Amino acid sequence: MRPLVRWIAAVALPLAVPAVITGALWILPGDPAEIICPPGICTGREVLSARWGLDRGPWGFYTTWLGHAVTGDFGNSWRVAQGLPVRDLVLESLPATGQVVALAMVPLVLGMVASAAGWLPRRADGVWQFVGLIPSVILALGFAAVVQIQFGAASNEGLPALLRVVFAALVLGVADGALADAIVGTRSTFDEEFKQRYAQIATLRGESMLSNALPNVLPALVGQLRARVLAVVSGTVVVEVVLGVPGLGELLWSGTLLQDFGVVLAAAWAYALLSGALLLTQAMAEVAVATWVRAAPPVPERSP
Amino acid sequence: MMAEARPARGPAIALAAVLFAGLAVLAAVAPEFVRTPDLSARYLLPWQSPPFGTDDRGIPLWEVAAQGSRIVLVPAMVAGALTAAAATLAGVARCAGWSWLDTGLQAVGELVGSLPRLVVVLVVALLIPPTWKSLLPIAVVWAFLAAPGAMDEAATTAGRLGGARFVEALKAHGFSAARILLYHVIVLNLRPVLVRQAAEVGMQVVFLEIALSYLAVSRNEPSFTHPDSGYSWATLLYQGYTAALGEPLWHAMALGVGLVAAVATLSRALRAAARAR
Amino acid sequence: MSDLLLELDDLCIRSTHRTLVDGVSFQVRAGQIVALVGASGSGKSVSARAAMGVLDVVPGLQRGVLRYPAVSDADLFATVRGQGEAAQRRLLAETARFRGGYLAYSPQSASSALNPGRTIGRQIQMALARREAPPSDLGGTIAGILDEVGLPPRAAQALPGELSGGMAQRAALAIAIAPSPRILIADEPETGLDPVLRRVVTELMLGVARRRQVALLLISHTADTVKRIADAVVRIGEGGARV
Repeated sequence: MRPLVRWIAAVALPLAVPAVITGALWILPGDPAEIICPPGICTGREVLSARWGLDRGPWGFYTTWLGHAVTGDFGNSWRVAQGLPVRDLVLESLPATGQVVALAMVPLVLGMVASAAGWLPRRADGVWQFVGLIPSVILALGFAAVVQIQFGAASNEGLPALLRVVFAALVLGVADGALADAIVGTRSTFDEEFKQRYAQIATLRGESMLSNALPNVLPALVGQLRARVLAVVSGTVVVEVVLGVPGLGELLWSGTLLQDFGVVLAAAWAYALLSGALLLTQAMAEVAVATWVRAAPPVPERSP
Repeated sequence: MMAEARPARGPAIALAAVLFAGLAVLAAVAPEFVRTPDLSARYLLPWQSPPFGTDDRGIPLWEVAAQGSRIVLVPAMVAGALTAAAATLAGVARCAGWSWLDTGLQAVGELVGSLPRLVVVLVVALLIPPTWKSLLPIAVVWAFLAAPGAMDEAATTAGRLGGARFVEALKAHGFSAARILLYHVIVLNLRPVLVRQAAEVGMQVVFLEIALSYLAVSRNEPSFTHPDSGYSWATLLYQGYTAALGEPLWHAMALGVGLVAAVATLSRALRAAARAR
Repeated sequence: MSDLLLELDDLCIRSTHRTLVDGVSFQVRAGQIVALVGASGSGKSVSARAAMGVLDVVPGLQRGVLRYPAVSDADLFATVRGQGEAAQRRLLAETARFRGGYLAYSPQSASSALNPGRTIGRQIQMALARREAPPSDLGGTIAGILDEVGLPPRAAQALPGELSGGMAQRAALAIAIAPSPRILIADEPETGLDPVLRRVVTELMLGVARRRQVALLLISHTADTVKRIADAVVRIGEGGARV
């Protein structure tokens, strides 16, 4: 049942996010067209209104925007990179964010594996938790200062650019309790399972508790991993801006700051698609685990 | 096997009270407007201009700290309270046998819990009218996004008690359903979960404010979380960043880090104070 | 005289609060049915677990000798007596090769003792892997074991949660006998079963043990059962064991 719920949620997310934004636009006081295209910083409101269906009410706007979005048409940016297609800005930003997220998962996955295998002493939990108390913005600031001091203002190519990505990943993988939660959370999951009667009795049968517990803890671990990936994805906004990584988070922030609604909506939708993909992945993993749990050697109907 | 050492509740309660009182006093004495720059009093160290010195504009850092405290205190408490309320509802629904509500909360929680929080916050920040500029709506949104995790934990805790069977068993002892839910379920069993989640969310709101304000300050743009006349703790951290680049503002960095540490310690102390006996 | 398979002498185990067993001694010979009886909390399960090399209380083992004479004359408790948790963990690792192969354990209340995340067939397969020579016809061997305990072949595809209490007990017995052990330790197999099923399960266990020539160490507090089937009875009460 749970995988089915996740499949439905994965499909619903990219539909729900623009729906909620549409709802907010029409609930908030003022003309939606003026919220999207504020007077004084945005011109051509009437053209925008006609293009996006703002003059046809919330349903008109929602269906028009979504219809264009599925074909990759998000219009042009009017503040972040004036005149450039928003689709191009989003696509250009994805590789950097992808690199940061992928690298950030390395310490987290390693931490989970090491914790499950019992390689990390409990005495060290205090260290992970202390480091985890550091907010990501402060840790990112520190690394940004290091790069700035070492390489100066012209530090957006080559080694400095690589370092920015690596540091961004390190911050996301360690700060805000990420690594601590991965290690301690995984261990707690296994500890709770090892307390179950069947796990204790596995020892009496000469089997390992870990191999017996694994099929029962996997769904929980998969869920924890998805939550961690989601937290990392969410955190890319802060670290990309502080460290100057030209990723999706940095694009979203610039769009928000400059009130470039087209960029913000497109970037938010890209994040919703990514979250939906994570949900789908979790659902598929749960189905795979359920299939594995159900595995039994073939047994003939009549015993010899 | 030996039990793990746990922090004593008494000192944790005392520490939490002291830290909270300190932040509340700071918020209470915060000036409405920071005084105008006085370049003759720039970069003064704490012993030259007690208690915390001045920044690169000659503005006393205690005023920045106090304004920052006022910006975050109430929204953080509101967010924590909302999260605790949502978790309470989920825990009670599990124990009261309200399966329709329980299922509904799980379904909504699945969807909401899948959203990248900071992305949602930025979209909300974009939509908020300039006249509403405050941390409070952002904190409420954050609490809404954090609620699924809190509700899940509370429902699980209630489930471990035995859910509706726990309530029925206690009714057989003559207790009313209301007393059972309010005292036995919420006060005795859900309390650690509720306080931990509330403290965690409150802390996250404070750090969120610092992050959002820092990102704005670093681009010389006004923040979403407070009016232009105010200063956030992010200002201290930005000045600390410039200190790393050569400006004599390490005392600003120290104050900023100290305030962050105080908030983190307050969250930990609250969790230790509320743990199950 | 039958072969001596297990010898436990003068066992004394303490926890932080009290003495759990003091002076328990028994032997198990091939083909023999030995019953361990006593009131709840008298130390029957602790003694049985100690006989398998599993000591999980502190300070733990204070006195005692444990031997598996069919394998060697070594006293397995020699380096553990009075040495605390670390020595007991070492013993657990050293005796792991005997558990599931030489000694098998059939738990009480099998429904909660079976792994909920693995099918019965898979659990029997894992138990068969502990034989010296795993069978060439895996499916046929599993079907045969299920038949011995009165379960249909399709039970191999079932998860423990899908079985009734009686079927779960049979499944636990199947998993216990799959490695062809020399000794089967049955821990209160009648717990949670109605009187009819108790008899069925006990007779089943007895039949399997006799057919496979497996010695049976039965932990029970049902006097009728003990009186009916046991070759030797070890009573555990305050002050040690009396046969």
